Amino acid sequence: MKALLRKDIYVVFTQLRGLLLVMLIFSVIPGGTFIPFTFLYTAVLSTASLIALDEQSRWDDLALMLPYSRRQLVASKYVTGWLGIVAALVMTVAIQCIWAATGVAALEEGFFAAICLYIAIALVLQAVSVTVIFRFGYVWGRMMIVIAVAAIGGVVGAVAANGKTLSMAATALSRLHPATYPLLAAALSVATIPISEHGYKVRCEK
Amino acid sequence: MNAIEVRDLKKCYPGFELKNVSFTLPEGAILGLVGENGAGKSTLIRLIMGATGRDGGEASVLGTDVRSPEFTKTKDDIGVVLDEAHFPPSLNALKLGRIFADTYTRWDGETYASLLEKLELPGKKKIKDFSRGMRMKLALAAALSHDARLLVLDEPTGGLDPMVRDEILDILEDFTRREDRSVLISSHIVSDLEKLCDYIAFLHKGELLLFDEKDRLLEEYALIKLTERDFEDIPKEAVRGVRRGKYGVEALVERGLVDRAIQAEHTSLEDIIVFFARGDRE
Repeated sequence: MKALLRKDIYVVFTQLRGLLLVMLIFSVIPGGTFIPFTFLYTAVLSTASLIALDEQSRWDDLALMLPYSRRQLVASKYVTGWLGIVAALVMTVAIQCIWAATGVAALEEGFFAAICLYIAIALVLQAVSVTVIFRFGYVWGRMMIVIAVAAIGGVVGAVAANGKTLSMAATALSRLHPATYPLLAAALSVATIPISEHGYKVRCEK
Repeated sequence: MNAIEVRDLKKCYPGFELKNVSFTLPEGAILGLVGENGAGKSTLIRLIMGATGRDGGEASVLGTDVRSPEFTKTKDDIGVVLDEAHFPPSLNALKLGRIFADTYTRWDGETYASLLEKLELPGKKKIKDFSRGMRMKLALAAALSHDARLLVLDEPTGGLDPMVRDEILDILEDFTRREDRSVLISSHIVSDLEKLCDYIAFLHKGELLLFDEKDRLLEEYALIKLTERDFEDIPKEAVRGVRRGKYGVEALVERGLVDRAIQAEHTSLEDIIVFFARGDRE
């Protein structure tokens, strides 16, 4: 596992520098408007890009013949994704606190609760995208993610059209402490590891 | 212990089938897997390494079933070189060494460094800027730096110039000086395998047509050149492949089954393979 994480980190810092730069730009913009993009961008693009680069260089073919188990190959991508979200969290909070301390922009009300929600959404999106990509490969997986996001958008739109349902959902969510959002999302993310592993096995054994 | 044991191994893809392949590679031996492009060599190697699922049969490597969870540990004793290096192109040889140091329990950094030096591979140059020959040498250096007991090489010399091919074959010869080390190497360059191998397996359209010791093959088969009329007297069961030309018939025959009076030429491994492949067309 350590070897796989090391490899992914090397690849992030050599081939995905552009992604890191965009992440940095989003997080330095004062105020909370661009913070959700930092997390979503990190969550979905970092892991998906790493898997795509593995497929492009055919590292994934070689890795199956090296002393790594399928679980390690799958779990390492999750861990790299989680590390990306932690990096986004540290960077965003640190920079926004610096802006608040230096008077550039004050922290908005509910800043930390919003961050908890963004982390939770990022974890869920990452888990879904990684599960789909491991099962179908990057090219097909990416298309399916687009379809899934459109479907989710449609459902959310339909719910939003019914103001009562939306308000019930918001009330239910507000009863929970914000810190529980990322914890629940992290639990969901961990729970999808065996599903991704199974999907990857099915794809490899074809 | 056998290095590789394969029994009735099957794999079906749309339009291709690997049919009941069986062979045993004893420990300390070198097996050359020959076959035309698309014959199923890479599929067989993927099955042997447990990288893909099988539709039937069994495979074990260094005494471990390749589908068992223990095989992950066994792979620590196996060095793998595929037809391309398959390393992340933005990395360099030094970073790759650090990754493999965390991968293999017996990784030897000094051996790796000395191989890089011997093969004139720069440590800090990005892999994407390497030539194909350099990438293959890098893959070989990585495969030889963790005290592997078995090397599995899929077309390591394909597309390389004769100098680099020779260099790679020399390294493989060095590797097999220790008696407990085995090699499975696939190639369609038969002359490379003739230099190196103890055993030859010939895969043709997904079927293992031939598996035997190289020396026995060279002793057992001979090439005869006859007129069409004389050829009719040759027992059909002796003939493995025929080529008909303007001036007569050229055939690969089993020496023991033809009359000793017939003049037979010594044959090369390449002839044997070519005639075996032609056999089903005759």
